[in-house]
Amino acid sequence: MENELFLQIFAAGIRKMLQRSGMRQEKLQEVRLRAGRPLLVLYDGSEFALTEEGKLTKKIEEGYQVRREDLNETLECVSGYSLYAFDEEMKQGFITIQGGHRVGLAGKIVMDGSKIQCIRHISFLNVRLSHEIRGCADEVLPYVIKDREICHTLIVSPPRCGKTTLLRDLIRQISDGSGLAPGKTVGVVDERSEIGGSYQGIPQNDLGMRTDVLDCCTKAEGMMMLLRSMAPQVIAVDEIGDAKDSQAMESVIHCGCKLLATVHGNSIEDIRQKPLLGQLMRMHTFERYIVLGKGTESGVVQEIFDDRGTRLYGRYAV
Amino acid sequence: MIRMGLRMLGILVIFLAACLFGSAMEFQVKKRWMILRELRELFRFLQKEMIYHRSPLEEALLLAAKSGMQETGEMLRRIAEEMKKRNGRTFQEIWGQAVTCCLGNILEPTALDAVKDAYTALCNTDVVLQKVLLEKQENLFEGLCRDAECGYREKSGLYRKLGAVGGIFLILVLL
Repeated sequence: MENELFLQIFAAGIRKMLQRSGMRQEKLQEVRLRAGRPLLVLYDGSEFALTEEGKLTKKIEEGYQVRREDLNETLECVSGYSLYAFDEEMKQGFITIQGGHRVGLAGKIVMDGSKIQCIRHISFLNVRLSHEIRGCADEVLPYVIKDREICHTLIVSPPRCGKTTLLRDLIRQISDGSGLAPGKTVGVVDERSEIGGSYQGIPQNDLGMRTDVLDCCTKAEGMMMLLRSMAPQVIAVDEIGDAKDSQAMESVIHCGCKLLATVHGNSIEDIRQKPLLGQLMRMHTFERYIVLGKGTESGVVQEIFDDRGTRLYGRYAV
Repeated sequence: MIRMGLRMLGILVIFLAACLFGSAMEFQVKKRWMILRELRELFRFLQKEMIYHRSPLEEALLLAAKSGMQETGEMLRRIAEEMKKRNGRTFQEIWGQAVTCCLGNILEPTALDAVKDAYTALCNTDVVLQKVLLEKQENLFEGLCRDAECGYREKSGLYRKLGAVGGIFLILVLL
């Protein structure tokens, strides 16, 4: 593994093991550290334990036993020796680091009434690597653009099928412009820093030259803020779900902005059965539905529908 | 006459040297007090930067280094540079090494150990405990500072007088 910037976030001992392993960073998805448990990695879609010698093994018990000191040192490195400075992010359960990677945290939660005050005794870390795939939206872009205008688009996908990766590349291509349509001003509400992977306010992933990002902001408030202040032509949000999101999306559409959104789901039928999203479908809010499915690569597009349910694209012909 | 003149010169040189030696000893004690006072101010400053401004520690240390004495400024800059390298060293190691290097010859062993142990207040994975430790550290430095000030006030006059008396004694012995 060559990327020094990524390796720098780990404790010295774990860093050496990762270097010795010979893993390629583009295939590494997660590194999990749990106090007193084996060091696990998700590599190329499979789970392995990493031994002290740097070998990948399916025998979990052979993995290096992560010590509390390793966790503390990793936290020091992740936060640049300034964990207190990430107080607000920690309340959300993660820290975004340079490169757009996310470090999930778990430990003892201290509550202040119904709000989370802080996390103490952090004993579990999940380092999730950010993988930008430029060009993964090439296939869908012609269906999302009609008469040089962007259609309101909803990406439907089960977990870990690349909907955020696809959304990211769509945002970039729409922002930069292409032969199909000129570049548009895009506003992104990145509630969990997954789309832009912002570090100190700067997106670590390429979201295009005309994109503004509201990082760690709730979707409903973020959409209204963008409408009021950044004059976006397109607004993009990830994982819509509740009534507030729904109301905010209606305001976006009524203001003449185009909307790109994603939602968890296995199929169009699945979405139709959800109360809020079903309602949006009946109102023909979205003009395009992109359904992703599990495959060997991220963002495998299964089907694309228009607002009437007409199938515009299918990966497997009936 | 010339011999007399040379003798007088010699007496003067010895007396001045002895007085300078006494002043140097006094200065050492004063420096110890000044450094501890500065460390107390440093912790007050860092507490504000960390709790209210949430500045990264590296930035806060560099900012503090600008207004510090030569030794503390040097120590803080060294620490910030090591932190920037991100070579897997723990903060305890970085802080301890810099403190020993820059303040090892100035502070007494108890004060030096107290400064070395202060790393837990600046870099801690328990942010709740860190706030408590920062206050505790400030109070500790307040105590050390007061002791050093008392020590200086007691000893400063004594060292100057000892220097002068020593010089006179040496002159008498040589004469």
